[in-house]
Amino acid sequence: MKKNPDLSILLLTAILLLTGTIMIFSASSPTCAMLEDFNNDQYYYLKRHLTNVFLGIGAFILAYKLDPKKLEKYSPLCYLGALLMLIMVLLPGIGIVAKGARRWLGFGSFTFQPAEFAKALFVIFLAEFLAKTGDKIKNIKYFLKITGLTILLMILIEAEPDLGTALSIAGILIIMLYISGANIKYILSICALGVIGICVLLITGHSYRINRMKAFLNPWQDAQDTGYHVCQSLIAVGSGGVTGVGFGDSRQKFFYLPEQHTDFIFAVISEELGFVGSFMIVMLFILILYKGFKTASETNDSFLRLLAVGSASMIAFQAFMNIGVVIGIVPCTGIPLPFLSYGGSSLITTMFLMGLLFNVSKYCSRHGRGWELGSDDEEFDSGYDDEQDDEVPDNIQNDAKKESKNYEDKNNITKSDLDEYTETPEKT
Amino acid sequence: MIGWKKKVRKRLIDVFYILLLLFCILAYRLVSLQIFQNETYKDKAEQQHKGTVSLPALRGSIMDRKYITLANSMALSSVAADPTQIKDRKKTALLLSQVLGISEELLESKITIPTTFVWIERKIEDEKAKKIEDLKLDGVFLLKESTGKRFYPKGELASHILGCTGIDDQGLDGIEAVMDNYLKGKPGEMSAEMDRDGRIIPGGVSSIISAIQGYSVVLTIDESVQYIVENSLEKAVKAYGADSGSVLVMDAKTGEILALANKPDYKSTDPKSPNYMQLTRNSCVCDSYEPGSTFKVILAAAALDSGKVKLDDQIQCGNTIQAGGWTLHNANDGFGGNPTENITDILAYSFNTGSVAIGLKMGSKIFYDYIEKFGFGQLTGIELPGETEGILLPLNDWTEINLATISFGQGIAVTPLQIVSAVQGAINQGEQMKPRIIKQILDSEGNIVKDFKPEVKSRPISSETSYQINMILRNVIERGTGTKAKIPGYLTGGKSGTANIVENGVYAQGKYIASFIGYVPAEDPKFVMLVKIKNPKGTIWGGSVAGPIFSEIGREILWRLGIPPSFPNEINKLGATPQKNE
Repeated sequence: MKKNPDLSILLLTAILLLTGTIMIFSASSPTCAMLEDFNNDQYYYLKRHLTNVFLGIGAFILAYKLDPKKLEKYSPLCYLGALLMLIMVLLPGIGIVAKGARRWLGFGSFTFQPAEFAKALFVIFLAEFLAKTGDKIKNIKYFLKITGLTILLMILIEAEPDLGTALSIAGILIIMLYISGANIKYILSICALGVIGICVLLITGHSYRINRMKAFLNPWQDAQDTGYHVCQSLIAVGSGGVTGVGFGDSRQKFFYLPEQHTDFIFAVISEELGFVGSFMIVMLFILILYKGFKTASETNDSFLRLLAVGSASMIAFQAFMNIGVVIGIVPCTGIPLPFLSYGGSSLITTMFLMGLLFNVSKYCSRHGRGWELGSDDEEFDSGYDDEQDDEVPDNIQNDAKKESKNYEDKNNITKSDLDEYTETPEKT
Repeated sequence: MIGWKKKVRKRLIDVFYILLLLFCILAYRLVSLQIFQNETYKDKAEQQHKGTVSLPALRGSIMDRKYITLANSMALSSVAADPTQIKDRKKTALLLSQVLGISEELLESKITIPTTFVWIERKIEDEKAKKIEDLKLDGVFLLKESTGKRFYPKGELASHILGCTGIDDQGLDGIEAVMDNYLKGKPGEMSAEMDRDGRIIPGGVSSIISAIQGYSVVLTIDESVQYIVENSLEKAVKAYGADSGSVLVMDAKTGEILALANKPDYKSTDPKSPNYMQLTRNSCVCDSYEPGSTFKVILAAAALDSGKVKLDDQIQCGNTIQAGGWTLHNANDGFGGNPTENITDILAYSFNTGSVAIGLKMGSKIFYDYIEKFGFGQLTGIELPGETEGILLPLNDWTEINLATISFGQGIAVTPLQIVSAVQGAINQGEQMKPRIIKQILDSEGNIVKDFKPEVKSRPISSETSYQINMILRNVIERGTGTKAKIPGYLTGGKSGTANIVENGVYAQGKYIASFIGYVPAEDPKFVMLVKIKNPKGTIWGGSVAGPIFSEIGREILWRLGIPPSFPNEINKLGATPQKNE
């Protein structure tokens, strides 16, 4: 039952894309004009960003045009592709090193970050895997399988190092596992493991991470060194006030803020446009989240639902992490702000994810029935018991024989379910 | 399964609300930072952005006593550029280099500096500024700098007095240095917001406090007198093949310095010239020398004023005299001394033997007290930098030989200013005035801020003694060693001096300082002048070397100042220079 897509998603995309373009120009132009490295060209980043915008629009259209069935079919290739790129980037001589990290592939002036693309590929793969697995995700075997595959990606990404992207992927995995009905105890267990993993990384890994942690806890203690990023960012945001210092009039962008057009662009926006602007940005990401979950609730197909949730969550999660760093409630990790941070790979990935969401919105059944609280429809209400769910994993744990029987049952049900949903688009 | 769908819906809602909660935390934090803590962060931001740039004040002028400008500053244009606005660097550099005469490479490197503001060339001439304005180059602009290069409209005239300024308009030497506090004015201030490296953020200027122009300094120097002095001195130093020469002219009544010159001098505007340190020394106040016979004026004044010697006393003279186990001679200048002479003749013919006898008669204590009263061994307090007090042995260290040699001006070192000031006191009815070179301080509108009046410094001798000294010194000119210093038509008084030069603590063989100190017109002195020539070749005697210079300069000054002659007839007869037998 193919329908018209939700145009508000397109509108959101356009607003954010435009805001990003304007703010990247504002944040980067004065310093580019002053520095010889950029040929004193104030349009240096704007020009490159516009190229990225075109590529991004291409990615958006591609994602929109893709046939979900084919996407589903080739999803293992997505995972393999991501894996391959992430391995390649780590190979000396192939991966390009910059700012102390081996994150780029490519040649000449054309480079990209495989880890960024991996985010989108991972969302597709994860959605397909969980949709296919269905209720079997309650089985620890499947749970561990997908967790293991994800951790493999994360390890490769972290090896670059790029903790931010690795954390985004972890976040999406947890969200998607929960929505797919995985056992909460398992989810909490891997969360605990993740926390332990991060602690281990902090102690054994790069020393800058401990400093970042200290700086997070009290940035003003060492405002000139380890706390510098956060302090300058807080000064930018705080001095913006309600209405900001005025568009283009940021003072902090003059070499006070580091990475003012990439990771810290939100600080420039907050300073120039004040609370009015910063809150608008936060609202736009909330709207993306809302659209993602609304779209998910309105589609009957597991894969499409998970695709919508995954895409929206991936964008929103990154936005939360990035803004959190800028306003000092998340420790410093290099996560770009979708749409707004300068960076081709990030923008293309974000646009692709929005394209997927826009694509999924075509398959929604909008009959005045949202997924909001209390709008549950009677027809879906029969024969389902929450507690029954929780019993299943218990059974699995307690009795191996019972396990297998249950799986067969569930498998049958899921399969028929899936068939029904996937055929629907073709019927229309 | 339909039930499964419901479960999904519930979990979807859970996740949405959890994520929404995260965003609410962001929003809460934004409210806290941007609304409630706005003031705190605004202060922090201001603290780190605010900076000030000093706006230099226009430096005041230096003028002579007739308000003729000797040094001044102008507001000048400076060329600056915003490299980010320059489109064609090669072309811009080429065009600028044609006007400014700076190499293209240097200019190009300047306009490639990554900033929005860079100085190309500061304080350029108006013509060049006009040309650059006409070029209308993108990113190149002219700024009126409130302070300009220092200009000395009279060239090197009075360079030892005026001194010089550095590139930042600070006084380095001379009046420029001593009066810097008055001249420099009060710089203004521009508050601006700066980037992390201290560059002004475009549009970041918040307030400008204008600079206050510096005061002008009026000197006691008379520009025309100074010109005569410098001109003649330069010629004389060359003519005698001397190492150097100094002339100091002081108003005989007020102690105001009318002219002060040392030759060779230096370009007052170029601190990079070779021998700069040596050439900038203002010998008239910074260097002391052994005055030789000119010091006999002080001896005579002390002897007469103390009553130890009367005008008609016959004093032991002859050609040698014993003192402290040494035999002292007269100078080998052709004048022979009788066994006894009176004080007038001892000075007129500059007998060392007679002078020693006067000194011995008077005794160390009395002589020393007079020397001190006349201001030797002390700073005069002139408003010029680097003044020295000379060398005056403490009384306790005086032995007979010291007393004897100091009586004819050896074994004591004085500055030209000290001796001129002392003679001024000796002939001005015993009133020694404080030597001054500053007359007035004016504000930028020409109102008098400070007026320096003549000031009696001390009364070393009585007016009677002063009259006697005046009479004795006229005799020096009329019939003694100073006949060549006579200025035709004017009654002149003075004393010559020839002294050994001390080099490295010993008297240098065959090197002398020939000097003459005199005043004119003797019946009512207008000015006292010292002419001092260091190491002249050929003739070495003060009367023969410095005397004629005194006469020449003195005559011109008198004419220039319009002082009526004592004997108009003598001038009328002046077809040829007066011939006198010697």
